[in-house]
Amino acid sequence: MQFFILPFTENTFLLNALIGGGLFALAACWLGLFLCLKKLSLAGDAMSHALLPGVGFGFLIFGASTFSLFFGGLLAGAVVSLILTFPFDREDPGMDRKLSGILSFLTALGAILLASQQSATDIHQILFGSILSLGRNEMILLAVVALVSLLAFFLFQKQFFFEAVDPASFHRIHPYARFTRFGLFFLISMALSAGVCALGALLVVGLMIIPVVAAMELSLSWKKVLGLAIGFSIVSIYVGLLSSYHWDFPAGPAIVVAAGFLLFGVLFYRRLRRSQLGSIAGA
Amino acid sequence: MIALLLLKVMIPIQALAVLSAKAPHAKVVCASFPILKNLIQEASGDAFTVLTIVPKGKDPHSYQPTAKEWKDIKKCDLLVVLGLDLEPWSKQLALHFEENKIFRIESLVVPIQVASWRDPHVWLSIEQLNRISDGLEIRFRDLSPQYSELFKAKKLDFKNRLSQLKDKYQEKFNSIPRARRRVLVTHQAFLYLGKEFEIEFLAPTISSASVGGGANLGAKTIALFLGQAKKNEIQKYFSVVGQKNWLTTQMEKEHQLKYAGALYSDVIEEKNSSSASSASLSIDSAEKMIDYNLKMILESLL
Amino acid sequence: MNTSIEFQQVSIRRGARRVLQNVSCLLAPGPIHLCRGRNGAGKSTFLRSLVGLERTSEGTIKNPFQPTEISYFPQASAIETQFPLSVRELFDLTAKNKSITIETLEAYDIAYLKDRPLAELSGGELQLVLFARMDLVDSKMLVLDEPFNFMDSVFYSRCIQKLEKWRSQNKIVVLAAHQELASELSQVQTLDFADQTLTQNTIYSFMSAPKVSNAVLHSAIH
Repeated sequence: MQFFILPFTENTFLLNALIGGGLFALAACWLGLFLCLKKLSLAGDAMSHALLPGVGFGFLIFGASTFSLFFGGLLAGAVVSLILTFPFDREDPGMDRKLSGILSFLTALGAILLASQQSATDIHQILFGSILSLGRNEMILLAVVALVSLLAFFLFQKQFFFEAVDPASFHRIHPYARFTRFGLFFLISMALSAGVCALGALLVVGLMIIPVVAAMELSLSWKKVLGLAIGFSIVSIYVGLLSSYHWDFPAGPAIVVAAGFLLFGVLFYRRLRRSQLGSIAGA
Repeated sequence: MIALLLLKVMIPIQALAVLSAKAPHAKVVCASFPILKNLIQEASGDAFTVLTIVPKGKDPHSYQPTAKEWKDIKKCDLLVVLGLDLEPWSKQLALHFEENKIFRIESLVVPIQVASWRDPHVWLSIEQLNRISDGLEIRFRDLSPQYSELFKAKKLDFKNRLSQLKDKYQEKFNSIPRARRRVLVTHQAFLYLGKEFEIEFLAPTISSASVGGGANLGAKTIALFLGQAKKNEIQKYFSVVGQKNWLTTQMEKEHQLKYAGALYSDVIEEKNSSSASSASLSIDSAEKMIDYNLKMILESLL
Repeated sequence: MNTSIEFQQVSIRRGARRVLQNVSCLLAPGPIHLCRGRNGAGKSTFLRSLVGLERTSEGTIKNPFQPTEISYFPQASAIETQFPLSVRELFDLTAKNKSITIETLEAYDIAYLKDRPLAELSGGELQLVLFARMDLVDSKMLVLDEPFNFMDSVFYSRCIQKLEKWRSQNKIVVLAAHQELASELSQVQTLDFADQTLTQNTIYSFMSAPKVSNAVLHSAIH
């Protein structure tokens, strides 16, 4: 137990990292469910790529504080959300390649904005986060974002689900349907922007998506999927932090790597089950 | 028509005149970053036009000169770089320069090495500054022999001030038992200063872009660092100017650490020529950096 | 109150191509309106324009119904089956309350599918589920684009009965299908599409009560 529990009880910064990560997981998991849908996966890519110039912009204008990065990311996220929502309903088949072009542009733009900063220490923290240095401000931000995110989920779950399962009907019937889609994207960028302080702009999407992908391998009921996803997230965070404590790995990347291993484990397990049963088990 | 032609000729000449307003036919010396510029000016006064490659505030370790800047750099008569793996772009110098146009400060100093890292902060040591001062005088004499007297005078003056600086602090530090001469700092950049005044600087990471400061630290290192604070009963810690302080207020409270200020390592401020009083307050030279750092450290230890 | 839909010389262009040319017709409650024609003849476009998903380039569509009063079954459905919902949960999204969901499931004899995830439904099952979904709300017009694809004869006959039920409730039912439906429905208006135009607009009316053809009856027993 000394190996597993003591590091967290003896080091508040490690415990804060665990709690902060957990708050992010609560905010992000249900949003990650939407990003895993075929039609929205590219949107998820877009959001995470928008994060980079957004955060760079926030950094440039307001400095390196957590709040400035958050608002920068949020602003960029809002812009990308608008772009993704409004031309949507024409079901443009060229949308994918146009988005890809825009993504590359955004990434490069982000690189330029970040290159104009003062020290590369800051770049590193922006890209990979500093989950081990979560102070009061960051914890409050994560808590508020988690609260808002969960509230939105409980209040508007039906609308979000309907819009994701049958967008054509939803948009046909509801005059303000676009706001649902925009709201979803905006919440995603809000969660990602808050997660930047912990995991950094490059890695934060990983923790939003990987646990959900793993969970969807094991269940086709959304309640179970979300439960599993949150569980997987917390396990990944725990394992990542523990490995950082015992073997000095950079914490943020270690967490996402742990999530990745978890996913591989699940995929392997599924493959085993399939060959054992001699048939395709499930979807 | 002729007037226009004349004008076209006149303007470049005027520009040149402005450039050499300091001294007629002044050579152009390029310093790789502002601290070197300061040292060069300390050694040469107004004899040269000194330009800096890495702009103020940027990290020399990760800076990449743009194509335009390379063009300008090539025009200079002498390029002064530090070496010691500080400037990544200096590896390409051979492509652009003949060897005799490059001057590496690392050839003048005795570097301190920890594992594979050679501490580049040689300007934070009075002994090293003395060597640099000597070396620069010789090189500058070669470059512009007409100013030999000036260089010699500047060198002596500088070394004199340095020796006074050392005297000012040496005794005071000697009065503190060596076991207590321990300073907690967020980034290691003070090995030379530490060696000179026998101060032990405890830091979990080295100051320099490539490591990313606090972002790249594992929990193990952080826990060790904070544990060291407790073990050595050190209550104050310093951050480094230009590097983000990764210690949060929560960490401070929990380990009873008090923030004592920021020490200068890589960054100096611009020479403030607006008023005499503020000019003396701004840390715009290596000498002032050492002075300020030692003063702050002394206060924290007493 | 006007409860019919009227097309007045409607043409729809998509880019440079004319996908519908000069279509005029009247869709009134009473008969089931059946669109027939080869693939690519314009049926889907016609149905989409009924529902409001297409903009007309020429002509007018007089449609007195609000989108909420129209139920639409699109072709090759755009339902995201990867979303982890069960059939019942899908229905709960549309139905006013949970009891309607259960009632509808039972009315279509698919109560056994209620907890099945969408991704695990066969092609025919999904079609039936989406068909039944249309019955969750009390709509005034139902538009269906090839709803019987992948269905076996049992499901097929079930759906035919529902079409009749809707017809008797005075709802406007418009559908496009390749199956030979005209003879199986009690009142039918066929709209034959060819080369992006409506060529024939015939009303059949069978004097007797809603009749189920022998072939369909036969398979219902087994």
